[in-house]
Amino acid sequence: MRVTGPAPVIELRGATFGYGERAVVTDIDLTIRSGEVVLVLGPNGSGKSTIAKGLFGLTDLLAGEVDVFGMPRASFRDYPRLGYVPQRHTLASSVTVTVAEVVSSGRLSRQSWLGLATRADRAQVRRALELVGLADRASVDVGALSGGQQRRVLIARALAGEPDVLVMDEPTAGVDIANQHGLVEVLARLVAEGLTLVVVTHELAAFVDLVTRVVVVDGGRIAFDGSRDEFVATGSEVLHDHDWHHHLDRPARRSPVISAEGPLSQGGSRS
Amino acid sequence: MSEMLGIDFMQRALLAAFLVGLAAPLVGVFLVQRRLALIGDGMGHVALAGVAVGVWAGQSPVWTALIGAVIAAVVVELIRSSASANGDVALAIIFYGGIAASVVIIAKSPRGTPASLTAYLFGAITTVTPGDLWVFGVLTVVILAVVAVLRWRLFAVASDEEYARSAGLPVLALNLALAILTAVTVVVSMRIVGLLLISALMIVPNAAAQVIGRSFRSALAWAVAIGLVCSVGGVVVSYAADTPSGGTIVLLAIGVFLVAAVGSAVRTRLARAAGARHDEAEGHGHEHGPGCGHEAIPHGDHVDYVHDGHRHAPHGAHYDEHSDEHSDEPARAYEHSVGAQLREGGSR
Repeated sequence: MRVTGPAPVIELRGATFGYGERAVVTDIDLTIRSGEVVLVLGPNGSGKSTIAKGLFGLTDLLAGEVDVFGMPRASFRDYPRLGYVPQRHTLASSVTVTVAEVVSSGRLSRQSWLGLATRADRAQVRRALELVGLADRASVDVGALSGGQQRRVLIARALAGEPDVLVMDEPTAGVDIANQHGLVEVLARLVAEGLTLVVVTHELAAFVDLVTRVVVVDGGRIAFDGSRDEFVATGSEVLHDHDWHHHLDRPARRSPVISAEGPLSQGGSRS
Repeated sequence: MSEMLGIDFMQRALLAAFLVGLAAPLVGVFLVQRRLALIGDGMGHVALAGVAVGVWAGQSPVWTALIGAVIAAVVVELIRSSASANGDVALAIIFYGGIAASVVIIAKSPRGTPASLTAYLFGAITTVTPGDLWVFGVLTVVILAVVAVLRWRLFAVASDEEYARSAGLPVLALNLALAILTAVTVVVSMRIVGLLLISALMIVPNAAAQVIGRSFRSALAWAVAIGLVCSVGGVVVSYAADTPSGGTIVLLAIGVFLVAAVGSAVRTRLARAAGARHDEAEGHGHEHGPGCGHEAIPHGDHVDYVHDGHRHAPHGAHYDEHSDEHSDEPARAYEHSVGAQLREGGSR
């Protein structure tokens, strides 16, 4: 763990998260500093989403402490600074809702109860949609978008709140390769602007060029925490029996999943 | 028409219908969004118990109905939010308890007759008193004000509760607010629409508006317009045809919904017939079929083939490019096959 560096934005000390009495992840120590791009990896059911939800009070803190921007989570009120992209498969609902209406709800935590949406709010919604490449879809029914586009709508909603830290839960699940590329480009731009990024995922490949640090959660505990390079050097031992570890030795020559010379174009040559 | 407007009770009935037509769809849209279309029905049941207590005690039944409905709303929402396994059964007990208690209390009350119960259940245009109208007016103003202030927060909670929580919105308080709004709307509607039918005026105009509107905002405006036309129009028809107002209003609303739904279906079909979007795959020398080497994906009534990252669907003598909406699926299928290859490679 680094001793010096920028101020911690998220700090977990011996944190145990779960539901009711049932602990899902136990005794988590994790300090995330401003400017980091942290990938929280782990197989399904490892508890990585439970940690992400715990940062927002969506899972119960059963033991230990959680600090957000140097403040205990329970008394943290500066909600817009910590953005969340939940894991959702669809935005389609029983009512018609446009892309802009979904993204606008990302501004609510910055608005007063009696205040109407201002010009600044609308400008921020527009900017968020431009960032994710959906500016031309603002007035489209979200239910009519593809899964990848819907995921980008959720990201835009979080960005509309102008967060300093963005926590994303499985942002690439069900998103095709071309859209994963687009997504990572968007995130790279935001990181360059100073966004701290925490991505919970079981797919390393898409983020391999962006990530500065990797945390592996397995069986409800942190199994590995180190820089990307340390992870590539030692990670395969940590992850010996999980199918996603096969992506690990690819980063140096790029993953076949995201490579332009990958199987996708080979598949094309068959025709 | 002028004859009708000259009658005192009709003036009050039309005003009450206007208030109901305005308020019910505004609250109902959030119930539709949260898939709670039937909750207003249950609150109507409990409000009826309040009415019965009012009739028994010789008080204005509107106030006792309001108290009963609001208490029911809070209890119902607390049970729902606790997400207990028996929550559904608990709600059923509350709702049927309301109806059962009301029938028994009315039967035992000095002024009670089964006939007075029918007017409360199904609505009657002759029953709106001047005092009722004042209460309905004030309650409608409260409903409009609360929805105006909370609408985007109610929207956010209804569309993604987990996200709303993460953004610091007081989710339980907002859900309670919606439950109480529903209870108040039930009471405003009790004279004209009736407690067994009130839920319909919250839901059906929104169902019709969803077919017409292109955004949450525009659909809500349509729902209010449809609600106003149906409730005021229903009272007029009820007077002319001598029918119970509640049933007339709701049948009118269902008629509007059917017209909207059929109109939308016809429009979609016409647009499709005009060949709205039709991309033919270019230069396709290869004929897809089982075992042709391209991944086959069953898609509705035909089979698509993943070809060079595109999805081809047979159409007559050529293949169509399937549109953007499906673009994720073949790539995901492809990614899975890549994953499978990697796994095979790794296990060797």
